[in-house]
Amino acid sequence: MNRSWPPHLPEDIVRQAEGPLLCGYLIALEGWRRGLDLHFHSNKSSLFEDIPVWYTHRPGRLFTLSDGDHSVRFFRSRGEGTAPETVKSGADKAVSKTFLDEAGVPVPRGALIHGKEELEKEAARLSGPFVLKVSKGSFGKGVITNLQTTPDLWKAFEELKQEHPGEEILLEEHVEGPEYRLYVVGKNTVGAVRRDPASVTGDGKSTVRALIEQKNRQRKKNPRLATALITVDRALETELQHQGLTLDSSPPEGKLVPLRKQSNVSLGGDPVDVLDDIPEQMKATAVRTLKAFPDFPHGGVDIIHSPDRGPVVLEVNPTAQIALMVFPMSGTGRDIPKAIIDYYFPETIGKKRASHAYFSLAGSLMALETGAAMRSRVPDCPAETPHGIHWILEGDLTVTEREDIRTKAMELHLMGWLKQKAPGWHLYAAGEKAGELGGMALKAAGSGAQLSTGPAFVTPSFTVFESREEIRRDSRELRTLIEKTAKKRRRTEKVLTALKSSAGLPGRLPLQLMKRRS
Amino acid sequence: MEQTKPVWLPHLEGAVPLSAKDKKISLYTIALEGWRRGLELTFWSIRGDDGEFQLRFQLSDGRTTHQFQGSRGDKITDEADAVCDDKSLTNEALKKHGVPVPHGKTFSEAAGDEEITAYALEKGFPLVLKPTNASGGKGVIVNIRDEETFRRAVAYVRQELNLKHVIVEQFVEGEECRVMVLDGKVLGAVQRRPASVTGDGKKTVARLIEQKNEDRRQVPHLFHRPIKLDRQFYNTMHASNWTLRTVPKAGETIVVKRVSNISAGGDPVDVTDLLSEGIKKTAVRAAEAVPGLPHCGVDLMVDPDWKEAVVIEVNTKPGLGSHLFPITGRSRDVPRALIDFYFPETKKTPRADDVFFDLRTIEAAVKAAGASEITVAPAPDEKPEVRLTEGTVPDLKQKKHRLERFIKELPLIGTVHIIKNKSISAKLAGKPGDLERAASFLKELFPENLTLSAADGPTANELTWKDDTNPSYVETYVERRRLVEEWKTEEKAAARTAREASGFRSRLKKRFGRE
Repeated sequence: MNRSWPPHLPEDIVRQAEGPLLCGYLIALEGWRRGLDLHFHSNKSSLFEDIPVWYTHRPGRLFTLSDGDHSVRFFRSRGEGTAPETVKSGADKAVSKTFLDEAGVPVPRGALIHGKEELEKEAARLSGPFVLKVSKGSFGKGVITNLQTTPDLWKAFEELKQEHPGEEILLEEHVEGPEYRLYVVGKNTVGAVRRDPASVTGDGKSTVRALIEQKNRQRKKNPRLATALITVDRALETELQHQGLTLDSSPPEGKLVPLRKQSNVSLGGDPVDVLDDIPEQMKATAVRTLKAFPDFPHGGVDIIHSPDRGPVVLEVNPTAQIALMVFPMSGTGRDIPKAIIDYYFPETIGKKRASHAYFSLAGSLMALETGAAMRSRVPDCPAETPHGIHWILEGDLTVTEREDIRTKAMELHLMGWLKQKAPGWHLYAAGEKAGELGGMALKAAGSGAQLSTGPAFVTPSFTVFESREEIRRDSRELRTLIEKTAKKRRRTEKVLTALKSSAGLPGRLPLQLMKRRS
Repeated sequence: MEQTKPVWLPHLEGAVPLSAKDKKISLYTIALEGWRRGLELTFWSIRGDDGEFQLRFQLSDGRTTHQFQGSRGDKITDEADAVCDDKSLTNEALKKHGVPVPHGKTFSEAAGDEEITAYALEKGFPLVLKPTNASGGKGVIVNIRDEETFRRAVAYVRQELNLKHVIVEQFVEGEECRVMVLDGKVLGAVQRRPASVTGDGKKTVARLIEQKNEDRRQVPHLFHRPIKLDRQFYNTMHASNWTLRTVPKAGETIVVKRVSNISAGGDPVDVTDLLSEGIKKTAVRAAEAVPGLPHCGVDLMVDPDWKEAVVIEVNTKPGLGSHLFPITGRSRDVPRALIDFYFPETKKTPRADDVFFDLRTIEAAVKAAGASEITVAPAPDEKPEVRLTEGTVPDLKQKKHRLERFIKELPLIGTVHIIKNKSISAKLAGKPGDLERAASFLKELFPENLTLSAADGPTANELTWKDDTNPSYVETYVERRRLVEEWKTEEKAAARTAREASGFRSRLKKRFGRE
């Protein structure tokens, strides 16, 4: 599959921020690289009181960027330019539709349903097939599609009522056509992906189950999709049944097997970049969509392209995922973070971006994690990242040797990193005295070779890359080491104590001592 | 020596976390005092000589901000700091202001060793030789009594230590004492007494030292400073004909080291009430002698009758540990006086004495270069109540994430420990209403085998989530950092012991071989 992602956002770096932290990290990084001050905030901060936010008990979703004169608050991908009312309206499909209708933006025809009579009346007025959805649902939950008859509709209605008590339910005409997610910033559509429902393609041999596993392996390599794997559940098996397949069938080569109705990326859907292929009319509709709401400078728009009606807007998303457009399954990754920072900080447009610098997310969030801190400032981005030297160390490095290398790197004021990657440890150091550190590391590892010189991605300081598991292994190693050293020390102390306390008794001890030494 | 129990400040009992005990007592207690009064506390970092990041902090009431480095606040000017840093400049300033100092003379780099020795002979012994700008007593050689020793001392300090700029002073017999001065007043005085143990007629010196070291671990700033059985110790013991097996008589105090440094096992003793008016005046005048120095620690040499004193040194950032946690005497609340001085409008502000903050994650983030500034979460507005929860829950694994979110969103503070996905042990604190909500949530989530009880004591203002089957990154990281530090300390101690053992053996061998 052909894809090209922005070169300044390599996997190694963005992998620090999987899942719900990824979009925020991309925007924070873009601003920080332009020299803006970056702070992360905990849910103990009162700064975000007037902004709708959620799941902030884990840090990384709330941050501010500032150029000294003005500061912009962000919740994930949403900046403070979006009005709180717009966030609320966007979360409610029925309310969104009213705004869009008024602005003349095409939407699926439909109505809110409160009882059986209303359902029958509306179903008669509209034309099927129908979709029933919970007005405030998200992530593809609370949606039942492909409903034809009134009894089917009533059954689905009752089901939704039971699963989502107290929620409003929306009846809509099903709009046929491919689904798109567009991202608009200001007057421009800056990203567009077609969202294909989860699927696999047969190779004539592998079973559907094996093909799903294969697809998931591919998804794991994508920073956005790594946490949105295809999961086998009842709905998926039912979908296969409709096609006369089971998990153990082997579809013929080249045969596309859709696995779900919904196209949500979180349900295994594939984002495919189509920004250069979609008609201008669709882009214009997306821009008009944002204009339909009060203060909605940037956000996502879900559009179906209907053969009869053209672009029809399904919903808006003020806190949209942007990562799927930066890292699409195929096509060109679009620099959405750049467009967002350009919008909020126009004076930094054209300013040099320190594209080789990045910051450690875990380190920045560490003190917020326990709630000890309410605000944490990321160390300033270095304006220049000097060229450095990259070594591959073939021998192993113990935890203490790694610590010595880190200490030395700090002492020498070097930028760079140490990480484990087959065939051994990789060391990168940039700065005047990089050679000194390399010499020390080569000595510790026993063997190795200088690989190359040149630029590499660096934090403002020196980082030892470690996963949680590696750190735990280190801790075990350290405990053993401390115990061993202490034991040896205590033994020596005992001998010494015995020697000294009896040193006043001549003759006996020195003899013992001589024996011990020989 | 008197062994009366010291009287410490109740609001600092149990409020100094382990993370603050390693050379950060002054920084921590001043920051804590300000934070408890509702000032915004921000830590930031600078790179030290070793390239590692070190903590600094600032307090702000929204209008005024003051920065601190240890116990040095920003009302102390850089000029004052420069004067205090250089002993010859300090002496000059003190003399000019009529403050008594030991008689002596400063020698610049250009002076020859002969010239210095000639001055010493003219002046007469006993003498003190010290470098002008070394800290922590480095290169200070006291009570030099003859020419040969003096020559050796000069060679050691100027050649071996490479500290060329030196002072030769008369050696004044007496006791050293440090006085904390703020804004023309004496806040407290401490003395360091050489490491000692007091016998009970039964225990050996070895056992008494062990016991004393256990006691020292109860004293925040002595936690990492036990009496070590090093060369100093053996030399002292040897000179007095004692061994580790000696059993001192009941009530007999034996001094086991000659030097009195706290780091060498010395005892900090509060002597504030021993100061005469004359001595107090000398200390206050010493602070006044240096322009731009509203507070400082003044090192005095006091005559044996505690009537008069000469000033040895003036420190811009004296350690506060000994004033706060003396082994005998009474604590002097220096942090409170300092915050009163820097933020006088907060003098009457109620203080959140039931909470403290922990430095462990803050320091870890700064050291890992993950954060350059960290603002501490504010203390809760009302006194948090504390509850203990314990129980076994069969399907804890499925429920723990909901529990984590619920507790963190309230938010409650305290510690939650999840053991093997089976049982839970928690100390939670917060507003009574929030605790009620948590209690009913817990009861609903875990209908059986869960007990709740009230508890007391100060609480760290954070939630530590310990899940042994799925430890969080921050807990894993902080634990490893702690182990790295422990390993460094242990390795140093082991190397010292090994060095000493081999030295002792070779000395014995030499002697034995000659005999």
